[in-house]
Amino acid sequence: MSLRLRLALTILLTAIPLAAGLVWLRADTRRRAQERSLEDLVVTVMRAGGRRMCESFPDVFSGGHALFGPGSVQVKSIRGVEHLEDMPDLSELLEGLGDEKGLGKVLEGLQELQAREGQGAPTSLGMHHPDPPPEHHFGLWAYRADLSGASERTPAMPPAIRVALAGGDATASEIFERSGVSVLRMGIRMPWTDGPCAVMVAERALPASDDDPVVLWGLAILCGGVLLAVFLAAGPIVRRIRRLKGDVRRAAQSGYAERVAVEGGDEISDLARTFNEAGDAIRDHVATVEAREETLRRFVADTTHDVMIPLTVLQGNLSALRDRVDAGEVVDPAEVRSSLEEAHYMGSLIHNLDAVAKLEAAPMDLTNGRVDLRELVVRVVERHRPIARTRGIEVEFTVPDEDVEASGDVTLLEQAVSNVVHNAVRYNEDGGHVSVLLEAAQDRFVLRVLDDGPGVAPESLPRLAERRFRSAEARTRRGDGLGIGLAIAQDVAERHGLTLRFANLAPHGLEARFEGPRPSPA
Amino acid sequence: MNHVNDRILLVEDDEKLGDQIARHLAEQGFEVTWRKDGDAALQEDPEDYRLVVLDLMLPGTYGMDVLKSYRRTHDVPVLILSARNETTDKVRALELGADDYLTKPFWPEELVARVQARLRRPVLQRSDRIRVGRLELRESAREVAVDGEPVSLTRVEFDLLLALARRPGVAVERAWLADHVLDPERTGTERTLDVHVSRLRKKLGPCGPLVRTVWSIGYRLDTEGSNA
Repeated sequence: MSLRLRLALTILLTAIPLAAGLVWLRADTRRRAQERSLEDLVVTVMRAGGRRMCESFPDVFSGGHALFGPGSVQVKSIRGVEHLEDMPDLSELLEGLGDEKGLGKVLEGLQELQAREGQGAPTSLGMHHPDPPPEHHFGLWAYRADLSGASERTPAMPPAIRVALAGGDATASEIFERSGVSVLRMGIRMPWTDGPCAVMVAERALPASDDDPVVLWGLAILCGGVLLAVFLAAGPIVRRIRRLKGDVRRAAQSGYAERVAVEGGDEISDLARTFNEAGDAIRDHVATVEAREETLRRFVADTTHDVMIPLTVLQGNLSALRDRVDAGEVVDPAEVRSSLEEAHYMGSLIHNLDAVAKLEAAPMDLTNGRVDLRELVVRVVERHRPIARTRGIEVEFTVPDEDVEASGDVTLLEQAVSNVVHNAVRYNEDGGHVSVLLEAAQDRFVLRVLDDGPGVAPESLPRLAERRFRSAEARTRRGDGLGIGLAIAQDVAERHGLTLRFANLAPHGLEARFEGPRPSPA
Repeated sequence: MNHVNDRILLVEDDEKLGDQIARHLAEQGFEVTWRKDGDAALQEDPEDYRLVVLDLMLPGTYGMDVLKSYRRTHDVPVLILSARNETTDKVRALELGADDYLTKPFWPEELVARVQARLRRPVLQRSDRIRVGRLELRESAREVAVDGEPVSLTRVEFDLLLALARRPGVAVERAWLADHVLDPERTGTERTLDVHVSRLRKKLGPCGPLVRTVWSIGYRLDTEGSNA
């Protein structure tokens, strides 16, 4: 849904119930005014003589009389009065009917007439208009306080009114249609409760609501105006958003190198600014990922190369062994040993590839795990013993009686120690020794790997402590004894807050020394 | 060590590797039952075995789920095999109750050493009587016997032997021995320690060679027949 359409719909959805509410409120107010006016009229009339009249001749208010507007009334008959033309003053009395004064006068006149004629009380008053306009309809009926008719001729009270009054209401009203005209019917309890005329039911036609269309038109015009204003105001906003969309699309296509134009200081320019910031973050992230990928790609390529060398040696050895076995010759133990070593080396190399991938991806702080160092030492020694034994190299270890833990990643720490031990075995002479010593003080541990191999040229010692492996030189497998394994060990140690130092031993040999804090017991 | 009645359940899907592991364990005297997928492993009652070697990457039910299922009812030792050298895998397996893990590739000797380490009964270090092969020590009485024949040792020699015998097969550092065994009143050096060791070896006669010198560390009491 477009922004404009959404705005328009929102306005319409808000305005329609609002307008309906206004119309209803207005109708309700009008009805209340009509009710109040009719009630006032009836009460006034009854006070002004209607009560007296009614109580004397209850039949007068029993017959559904219709009283019409002034000047157009003909009284056709009064029950008990044979000839209306004999009562000339009656037509005078009927002037001004339609208001309470007039009605009062009529009632008084009737009383006087009755008294003067000395005949029986008029039991019903019938007045008919030759062509009665329904909008002038008026009627009045009398009932007792218990809502029964004032005389036997009084019709039963309309049910809706009766129910409401019986429920204790002082007044009750309803509106119904008669001959296309809305008629208000009210039941009104009089200020008195005794006598046959304690409750009156009155009917009066409601005036046509001639001003309603104006109100409705006003509302419609207001809504239209607001809609127009919203459309006008939304125009530039929509245009700017469209422009921003185009800019964003272009920026995305350019790998977020292009920036989005920022104009003004409102929410839309905030959005553009935020987008630029997000674009910068994405560009940085992509650059980091690409750099990492490039490092890994190069590493995988280099490692593939490195794995291919021992694999080729291994294949050569196995092939030579097969030839000897085929020829029934004795197998050369040196070839078997060499094959085992190459296989072992390949295993380490691939684990180191894995370790480098983890180090590249890992956050700098790896110290959230607990590592059992005694267990680690045993595992590493057992890992390298089989290959050392083929060359008569003894790999021994000692660990304290108590638990020694370090904080960190067990896989990486084990790989680090394993690399150092592997290095010590690999560059040792046949029949040499390698020892792993774990020692613990109060809050620190020292893990030493000693060998009695040839050691390292003094000028190369500091290079062993460098963290990053240097591609070509460091990867030389047998050259000066520096391998990728030691670089990884150094990196892992650094990231775990450990130190890794190398020193030559007398008379010959190398000591690698990991040192670090013991975590406080959990 | 004699493992004749030691039954091991091996759960490994790779034919060649499984065959190799089964053969190596059998050579060590274990009776190996080999199951090739997780669902078959779930049919097994771990109660029937002294140890389970469980590969993590299995067809059917995943290795971790097999472990979880076993741990619901049994505490048979479980050694996990994994091709992924992942810390999260190890931590998870240990949390689920695995006893140990081994990352591929491994040497057959490595596997055997891990299995034996899990099956080895813990040495009751605080018990009064320590027996290492033909050698027997009674701590409270400070008596030593070789093949049941009492051997008379000095205080330092006895303490030295006791310190080694408490952790047979594990090397003990020379400096630690000098600190804990030699009389602090006298100026005992590590050289003095060597002299004591040499006398101890002589007195132990046929068991003398069990007290091994370990390069750059110190000494170790070998368990008889130990190939370590």
